[in-house]
Amino acid sequence: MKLYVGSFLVGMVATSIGLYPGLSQAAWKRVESFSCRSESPLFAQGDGVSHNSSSDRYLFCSFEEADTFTKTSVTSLNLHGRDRSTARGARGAACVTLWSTSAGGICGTYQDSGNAFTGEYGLTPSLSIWSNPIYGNDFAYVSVIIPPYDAVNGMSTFRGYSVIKP
Amino acid sequence: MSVPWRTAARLAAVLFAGALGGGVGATAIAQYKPTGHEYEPRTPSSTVRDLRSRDMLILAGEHGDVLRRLSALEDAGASSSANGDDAADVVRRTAERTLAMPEPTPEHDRELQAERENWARAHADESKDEPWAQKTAADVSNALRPAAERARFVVRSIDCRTTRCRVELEWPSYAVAAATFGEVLHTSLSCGSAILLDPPVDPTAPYRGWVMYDCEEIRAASP
Repeated sequence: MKLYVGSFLVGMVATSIGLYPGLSQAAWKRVESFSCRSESPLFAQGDGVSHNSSSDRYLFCSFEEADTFTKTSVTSLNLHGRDRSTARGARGAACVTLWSTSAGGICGTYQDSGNAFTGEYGLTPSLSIWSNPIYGNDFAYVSVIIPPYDAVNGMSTFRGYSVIKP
Repeated sequence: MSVPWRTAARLAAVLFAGALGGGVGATAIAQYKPTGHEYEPRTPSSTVRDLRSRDMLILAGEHGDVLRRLSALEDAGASSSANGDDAADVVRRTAERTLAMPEPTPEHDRELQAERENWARAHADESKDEPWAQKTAADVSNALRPAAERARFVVRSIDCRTTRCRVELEWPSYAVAAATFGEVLHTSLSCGSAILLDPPVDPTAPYRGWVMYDCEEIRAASP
């Protein structure tokens, strides 16, 4: 009898764990930089989008929020690309456009790859704005700054970003 | 030999029954949505966005009076389209939008106003670190200079304290401010930024507003 009860419980627990959304909803998303926008044209390089301007280039990438993947549930935001500038760093921040009768927006602190840094970067900007429930119904996006063209090393790039929720 | 086989078959059946029970239980828990959940949309209109077609029929039954009023509005629009506008379509689109997503609510507006007061208070409560304030004010001025040309605003004042700077700006009108505030939100400063611009009494008058730069994390990270 004990054996049967044990088998029943094992079957029930195993299936519950497999199906229960609270235990199986950990998820991630990866967004290619080609879906991001800039006010000036961008080049599609092999390692992401880039530009040949002598100044920073501002890029905006939407975060497609869904009831199953809200910005407030994001615990990790990673921006990837290649920084070839010896004068400026690549930067990124998590922002929201406010959905209100007043116009406005908020960005968290930008994380910077560093002025002198060159090479593959992985930025993890602050999520203080996205995680604030006050902005739960506002529109989320990622603000990225690609450093200027470097005469020696060439164009810096932004590959895209990924988000993770537990 | 027949006894172990029979026992194994029984075990398998019990295991299957357990799995079935677990599946039903997990599904039931998954369907349960407690009120006041942290990420649950709070307005009544938003809670219906996930309704399936079956639920829509129930909704139609329970809210027939609303739908009848909508229909009456559509009829009125169709019979009095003097200027050629399809009023019924406008009404329908508005209704669909209300059903599909939460609208900006007065509660959210009040929350944002309170949040803006918090930004202002946090800045006002800071003492002034003169060397940092002077250097950062110069950085803010430099960062806003190219944006000022594009967005047609004038910097009226910059008040930096210990980790925050409040910058007063003036645009030719509210419409210009509302369309171009991104220029002051995304700058070469790495500080966090926040701006909230209330609609004015006179939309044609020059418009004044302020942006807050929060450099606390930057300052904490720098030696």
